[in-house]
Amino acid sequence: MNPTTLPDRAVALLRALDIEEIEYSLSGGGDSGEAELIHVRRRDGAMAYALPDLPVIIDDFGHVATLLFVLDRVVADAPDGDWVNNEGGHGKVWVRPFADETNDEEVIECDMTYGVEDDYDDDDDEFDDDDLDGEPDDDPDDDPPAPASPSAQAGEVDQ
Amino acid sequence: MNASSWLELKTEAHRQLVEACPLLVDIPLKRIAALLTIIALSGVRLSARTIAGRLEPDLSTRPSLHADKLAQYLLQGIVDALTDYVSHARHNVEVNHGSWLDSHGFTELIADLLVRGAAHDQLSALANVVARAVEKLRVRIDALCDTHLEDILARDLPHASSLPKTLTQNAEWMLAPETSGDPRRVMVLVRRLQAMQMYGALASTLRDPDITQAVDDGEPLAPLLMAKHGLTNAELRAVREARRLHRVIVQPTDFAIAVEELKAHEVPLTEWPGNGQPGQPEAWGGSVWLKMPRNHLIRPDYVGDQADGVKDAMNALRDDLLRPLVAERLRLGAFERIRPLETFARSVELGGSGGGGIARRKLLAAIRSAVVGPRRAKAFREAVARWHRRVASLSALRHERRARRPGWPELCAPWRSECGHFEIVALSSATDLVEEGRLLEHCVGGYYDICRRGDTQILSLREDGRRVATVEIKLGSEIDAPTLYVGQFQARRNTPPARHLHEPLRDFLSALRSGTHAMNAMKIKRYRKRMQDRWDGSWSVDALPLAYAREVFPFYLPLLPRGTPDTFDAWCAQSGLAGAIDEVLTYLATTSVDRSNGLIPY
Repeated sequence: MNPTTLPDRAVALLRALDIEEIEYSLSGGGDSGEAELIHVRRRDGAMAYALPDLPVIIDDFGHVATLLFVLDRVVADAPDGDWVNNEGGHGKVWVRPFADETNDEEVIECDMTYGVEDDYDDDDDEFDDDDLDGEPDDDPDDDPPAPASPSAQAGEVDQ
Repeated sequence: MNASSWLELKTEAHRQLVEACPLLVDIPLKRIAALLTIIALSGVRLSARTIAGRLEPDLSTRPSLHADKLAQYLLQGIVDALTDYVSHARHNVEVNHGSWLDSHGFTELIADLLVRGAAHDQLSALANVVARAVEKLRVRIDALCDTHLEDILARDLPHASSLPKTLTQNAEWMLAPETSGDPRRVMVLVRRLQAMQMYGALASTLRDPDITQAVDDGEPLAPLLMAKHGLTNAELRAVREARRLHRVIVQPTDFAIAVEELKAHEVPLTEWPGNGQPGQPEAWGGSVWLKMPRNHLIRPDYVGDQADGVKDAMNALRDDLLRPLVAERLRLGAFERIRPLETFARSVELGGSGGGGIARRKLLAAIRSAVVGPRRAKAFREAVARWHRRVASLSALRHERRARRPGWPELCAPWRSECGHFEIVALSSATDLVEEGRLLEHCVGGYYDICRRGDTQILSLREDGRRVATVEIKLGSEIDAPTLYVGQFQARRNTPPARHLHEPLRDFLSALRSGTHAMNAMKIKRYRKRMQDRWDGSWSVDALPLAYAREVFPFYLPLLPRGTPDTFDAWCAQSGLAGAIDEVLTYLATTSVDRSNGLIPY
């Protein structure tokens, strides 16, 4: 194997560590998100909840990037959708270094649920509620006074 | 540093790596050659000397690296990085030693060692040895870059010796990196220096490839610059030595736009910075022509220190008189509704390079004739002040007379200071604004539209019952105390309020922000929502009708020059406005079709 990408490098080290599966939990929205390591399962079935502080790459300034740092980035970039910005999303990502991709197994698998953008057009509701209080002087426009009908009292507004 | 041999340095590198991770003794040297080279190179003494007529350095090492291919490769990378650094403006030092280690299988090596049973802390120690070497080399190369740049500038461009670290675009041009190694280089450097000394005010033009070629070939420069900027001999003479060479070198901007605007406004040469004389860098440096953005309907030096007042007047005149006229000319000319025309109809402005061309020049001339006339700046600004007092208020009243429910919700109830001397009262109608403007002799009536929209509140500060100053409070998108901020704070005739009046204003804002003085936040929010839905103000995307322009024209007479006709139509005809607008519309219609090979849809 000749690791050329960041995921390849991380997977190469995970294989060397004899790790069968890593599970991450992702949760985000607005403009931030968190990727949290949930568990590490070795091929012999032993479970762990942390990764060793191993070097993966050295950058051009002489900074060492560790396995956990690299995996955080790999996992965060894995989902196709934008789980960090706007409505965000949540879900899980698994890294399985020994998955047989020729057999349709995925080395990196994602199961994400994304938020749906709501229509926050609640100003009209607010306006109706305010009108219930009845403050005719607030209306700057030249509408004729609303008739004192039940519908008007219930907050009906001119369109 | 001991003058160890290259072999000794590599041996020491191997010792460090094995000390960090003993299992490395089992790894073939070829497999860790890149690591050994980086670590050994970080212990080599590197020095760079300039080479006559060239920008690339002569990089030497102690000890010699002999024929070590990997080391020679890295050395060539360092030479390239240094050459790059003295050849390009705003350039970071490009050395990719981390990536290079990656490509030589660093991660694979770590994985291999893991499989062989290396302890995790040993692998971390190994990585740290390598990382320290990469960092040390990087720091050394950064320092070499700085030194090499200093040496090159001292040799080829001594005037730029004070440049901080990296080159500017002009310094890059003056260093002529493309002539490195060319026998003509010395002459090119001299010619570029002379060109910048003479015409640094037009530095960006000098950097044009065709002009650069002419400079390098020693061709006469003046005719080219005159043609490029449409300048006369005298005008070009006025920009000669208008910038000190030091500023030309360190600052990225030049005077090209200012010169275009001077031409577009047809400013007489004697009124150019420095009275149109060469060698006037102080006059140019402090000139308003360098500070104002493009697209002023009148000369920026006529705006002066009454920027807000003149801007208000010109905006009002544009909305009340010019836009209706443009809309009418569009209708009469049966122009296609294309975007450039629509944009012009909204702004009555023409941008673009070259000062907007002849069409803009004619338009500005017509506006100048119609609005400014032969008056000097001082007389025009006095007229603006008179207009503000009379017409801005009338405009507000005119609108409110049309509205059945005038005014807007006040920000809060009147506030009184603890000492009892000061009171701050929110004004909530055009009548209030006009009264405030009349008593304090300023133009607060012109704020009617933004008050009416609910974007701003105007408050009257009173001392012992007497009006002493006016405060503009701008409302943010959310109506809450933390987002309030003071816009203008003006006393009589727009003079700065006395110092002792700042204290009550601060106390008032504190009271709002702390909630001790309640705001009508919900009321304003509802009001603003309603106005957003159905704005009834004079501001509008659509132009007002021509009949409106005719009706309000008399209110603008205090602003317009002596001899202005009494009617809008006569004014348009006499000033040439209608004809100039027609020319602009035709120009836009023609060039837009030419550019797009079809109409630009809405």
